[in-house]
Amino acid sequence: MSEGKKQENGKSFFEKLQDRSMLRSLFLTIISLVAFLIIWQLASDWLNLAYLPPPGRVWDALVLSFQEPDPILGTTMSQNIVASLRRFLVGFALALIVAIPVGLVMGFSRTFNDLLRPIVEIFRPIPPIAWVPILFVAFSYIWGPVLAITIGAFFPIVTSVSFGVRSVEPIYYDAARTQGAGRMAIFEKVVIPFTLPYMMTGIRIALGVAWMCIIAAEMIMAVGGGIGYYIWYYGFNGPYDNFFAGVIVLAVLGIITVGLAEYAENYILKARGMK
Amino acid sequence: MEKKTMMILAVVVVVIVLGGVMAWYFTKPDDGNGDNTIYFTAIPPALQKQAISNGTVSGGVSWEPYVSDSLVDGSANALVWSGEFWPNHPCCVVAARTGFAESNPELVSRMIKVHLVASDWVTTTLSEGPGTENYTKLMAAGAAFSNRGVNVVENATDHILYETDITPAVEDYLVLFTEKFIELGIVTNATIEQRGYDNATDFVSNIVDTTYYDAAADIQPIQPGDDPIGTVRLGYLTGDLHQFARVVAMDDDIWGGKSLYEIYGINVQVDNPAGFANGPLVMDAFAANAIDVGYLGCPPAMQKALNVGTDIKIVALANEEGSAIIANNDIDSFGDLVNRTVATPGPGSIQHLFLLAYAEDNGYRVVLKAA
Repeated sequence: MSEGKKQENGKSFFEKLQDRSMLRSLFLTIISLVAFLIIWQLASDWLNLAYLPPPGRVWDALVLSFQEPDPILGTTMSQNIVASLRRFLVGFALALIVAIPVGLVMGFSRTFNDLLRPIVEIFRPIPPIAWVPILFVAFSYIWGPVLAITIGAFFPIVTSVSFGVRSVEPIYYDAARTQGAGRMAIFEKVVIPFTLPYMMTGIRIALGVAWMCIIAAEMIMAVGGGIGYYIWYYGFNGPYDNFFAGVIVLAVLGIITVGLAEYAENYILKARGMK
Repeated sequence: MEKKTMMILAVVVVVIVLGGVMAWYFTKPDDGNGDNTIYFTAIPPALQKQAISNGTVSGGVSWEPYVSDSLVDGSANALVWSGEFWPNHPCCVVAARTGFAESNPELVSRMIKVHLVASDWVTTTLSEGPGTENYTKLMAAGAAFSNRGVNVVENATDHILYETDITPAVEDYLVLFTEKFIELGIVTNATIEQRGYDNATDFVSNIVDTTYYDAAADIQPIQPGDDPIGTVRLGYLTGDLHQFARVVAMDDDIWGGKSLYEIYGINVQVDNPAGFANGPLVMDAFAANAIDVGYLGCPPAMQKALNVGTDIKIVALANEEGSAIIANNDIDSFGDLVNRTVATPGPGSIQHLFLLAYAEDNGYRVVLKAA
């Protein structure tokens, strides 16, 4: 890593804020959010619909959900977040452990690709929610929900990793071969480094998809509570204030995890001199 | 493999796995502890039999035919029937969208009339017992509708009372349920006031409207060959034998080639023949103006009328009793469920309320299952 790049990475958040482009984008973000809130408030006032509570009421429900255990679940919002987060992390880790090797092998070996692709393509379009009752019956209450998330996260990673491997330009293989590299050496020295950015993109997409699966994961038997069950319950039963409060929490969780993944992606790409 | 790549991959995997494992073990929600705690978890009734027999949960509380499905199968035994705890308690009701009922009072009364005739027929046929042609037809209709065997349907109907009249005793139960919702925090006093009611009693006397029921007494079938009087869009629950009268009324075979609705001049339109998965969804169908009359449990009807403001009237009763707390065969009494998990259809259902109220009365407390 060069000295210049280290300084770039070392800049604090506030130093970066001083960049004009950063300020501008922050300003536009705030405008966008404020405009959204205003439109929400106005729409709620004008339409006066049971299912569109004003932002103020949702905020109150949100604050209360952190302060007191929910009357339905008996857990506070923090406990719901922790319960969902661990389901999410374990499910996602499983997806990574399975999907990365499968994607690499599928991209690298035509034989494996021909063997695995049909199976991947058969299962890819099935919404993870469809598996939920089956997973519950087959794997019971801890691993069933976790696997629903694993299934959601699996496919974006497999697809982007295998695509990344296949995108390696033939000239790199030729160059490596002329220098006497064997199949394994090419895999290690050419394929993996080249695939890393694709892998990170896949992970970032998969994080988003995995959060989308949290309700599927928790709709049957949410042990210890969970943000997905919270949203699911209140979406059906009301009051909708709580439903929207749950949605906001889920949105923030999604933004944080995807943000972390983007940060890791940038860091890895910069560290490897790719950006 | 290139060292740096290996390192990065290893770190990513380790961080995620460690994060997951740490999150898993640290922070555990309240696990109750104590020798009077029973855990609950929400599992749809159709999956409860499986969950009990594979040991995921020790017991369950649900509606028929799912109770009898486990009992007949031998995978569970009934610990307490809802009728033993709350004799003659209301369960499913017939509800009408207020706007529809106000502009089509006769159609609503006709729907109730059909419901009364069919309910009477079910009760009479059941009391005659096996052997009659009607009994065979009834069981066949129930088996087809609930997708369960005839023996399951027989067992289920033993514990359901097909009563239709909203008596003062029934209203008292509805008030009791509403007060329980408030106690449990499912509905707040503020919501009741916000909807313009003084208290639970005031709310129940408003949501229950027996005028259509009273008018149904004078309703006669239309003359054969006459045009139907109007169209009613109907919604109901999937496979719920509490709503047997509706199934019977729709059965052409029982009524001589015509449905009971046709005989009484109603063109019934069912846009969702498979039925709705739960009561809250029937309420959503009312709110979306997708149905005019619906069969559903009284708790979701009352909760959503309050929490969401869906404007409906409860116009007749569909059944009394017909739920039970069941458990695997190692468990002989409710007290044996301490420190074990019972599946419920979810907070807000009458079965959940029954479990909580029964536990409370017997000195137990019920909390959400922790990991």
